[in-house]
Amino acid sequence: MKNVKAIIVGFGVVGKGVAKVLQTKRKELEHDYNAKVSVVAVCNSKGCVIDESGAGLDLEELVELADKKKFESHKKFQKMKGADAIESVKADILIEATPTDIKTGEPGTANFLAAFKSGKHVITSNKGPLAVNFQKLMGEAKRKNLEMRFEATVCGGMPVFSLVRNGLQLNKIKSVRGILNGTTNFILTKMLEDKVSFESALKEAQELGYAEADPTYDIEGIDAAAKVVILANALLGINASFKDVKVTGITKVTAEAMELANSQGFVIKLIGEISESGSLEVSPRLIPKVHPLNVKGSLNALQIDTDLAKEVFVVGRGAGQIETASAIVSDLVDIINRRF
Amino acid sequence: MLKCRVLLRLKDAPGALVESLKPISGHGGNIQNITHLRENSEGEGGFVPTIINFEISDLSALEALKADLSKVAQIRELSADGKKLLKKKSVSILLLGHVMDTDAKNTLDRLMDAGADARNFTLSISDSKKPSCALITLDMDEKNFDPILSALDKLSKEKGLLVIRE
Ligand SMILES: NC(=O)c1ccc[n+]([C@@H]2O[C@H](COP(=O)([O-])OP(=O)(O)OC[C@H]3O[C@@H](n4cnc5c(N)ncnc54)[C@H](OP(=O)(O)O)[C@@H]3O)[C@@H](O)[C@H]2O)c1
Repeated sequence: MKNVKAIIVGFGVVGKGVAKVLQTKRKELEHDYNAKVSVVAVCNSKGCVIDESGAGLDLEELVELADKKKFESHKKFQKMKGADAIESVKADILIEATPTDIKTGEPGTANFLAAFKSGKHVITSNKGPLAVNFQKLMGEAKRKNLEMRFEATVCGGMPVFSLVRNGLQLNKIKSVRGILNGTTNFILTKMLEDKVSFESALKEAQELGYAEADPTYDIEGIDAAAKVVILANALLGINASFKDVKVTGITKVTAEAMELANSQGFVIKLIGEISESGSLEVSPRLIPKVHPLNVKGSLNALQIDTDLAKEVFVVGRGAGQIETASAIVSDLVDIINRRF
Repeated sequence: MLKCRVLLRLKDAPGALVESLKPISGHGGNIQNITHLRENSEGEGGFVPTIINFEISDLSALEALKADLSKVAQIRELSADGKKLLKKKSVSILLLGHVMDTDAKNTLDRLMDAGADARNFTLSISDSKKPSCALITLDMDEKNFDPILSALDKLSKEKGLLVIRE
């Protein structure tokens, strides 16, 4: 049996999702992959719960406490920074799920560096460090012969990087474009189907929990731009960061424009694109109704153009607790298969 | 003899094909085969992409044929002995903002100057104070695509229009 020790830093929606999936899929991990994963430390913004003694932490108890906002009442809780726990606790893998900061990349970057310094692989759902410092962090991982995995950062549960890694070997990726943000797709779909204004579609998205109270990241195209940067670096080898993306959001799109496009056989979608010439853009675009990228609601969709397989399409859920955890554990299993 | 291949965008109506064959035979073209790409017509707004392979004596006869053919059909691609002589592309764009108040004719003229042919212009105005929008289908030689994009970029900045392109 392969014994794998993990640390989870960031114990919100995604971190708790990973904890839940590790519990519900424990048997499959043992039976199908011959692996036993124990979580030896969990951190939130206030501190960490650490147990290096044996079988690892009781994840069910931790999720329950965190749900009740009583994480700090755990008997093994101690005030400690995530990066310090990462460096000092003995483990193999860091699962990093702290909030995305597109400007500074923190606290993610510090957490990644602490992991590499202490010889740990990194799996993340956090776009911030990658949108700001992709090449530096990847370089550091390679230098230490460690893995840096980020399937969950782009389109949540939908496989993108593993699809390319495991299914499109030897293919040269020429261009990539797609719907990378579920919130804006939900809003644009609502505007078309219910013939309502941008403002009222946004309000409904907020009421249903698809959009944040401050929806700027989504509607201004910032979230999609961060994903474009990650795709450009990881799939096309372009050394780009957030400032290299030309970004236009959807706030000016009107119901009349949606209607006019519709009458001529098109829909309007917020599309992130890395073109063949290497330019990076996020903007509202016309997509023919019959095109595979015309997916509805909060779905995400990606078109990958390659020299051998030509156009490949993936459609799936771009967010959600268990969907995102699916991407993280798929990275986890892949690292276990390759490195243990 | 030159071996030629032309891709046309034909109206899905009786007589459209016959009309397009006249200039070919009229200039001494020897038609080898015709293929209707019906399965591709859905995204083409009722037009059927059609490929005609033919032989013709020389380039000057082909040039004359091309001039006459373009009067009765939309030529999307033309090649002779495998060499591409023409490749057209259609791009739809939606302009959003004060399209009329910012001189729609000037907008179109400047796109034409950059090498585009406007095939379709549909305007939608709900209220004269609110932003309007127009959907334009532009035909262009593929090589003019980049100049047209930069013309659009300039227009959008100058006139405060949001350009939503295909
Ligand atoms: N939610 C999704 O569906 C989804 C999908 C794909 C990617 N992501 C990305 O995944 C990451 C996590 O998202 P989420 O939805 O789980 O966010 P969340 O619910 O807000 O949780 C964030 C967690 O990080 C903790 N945290 C904040 N600052 C920290 C610090 N300096 N050190 C250690 N922990 C810190 C928070 O602590 P407290 O509990 O003390 O506040 C919280 O536990 C984000 O980068 C997000 O963009 C999310």
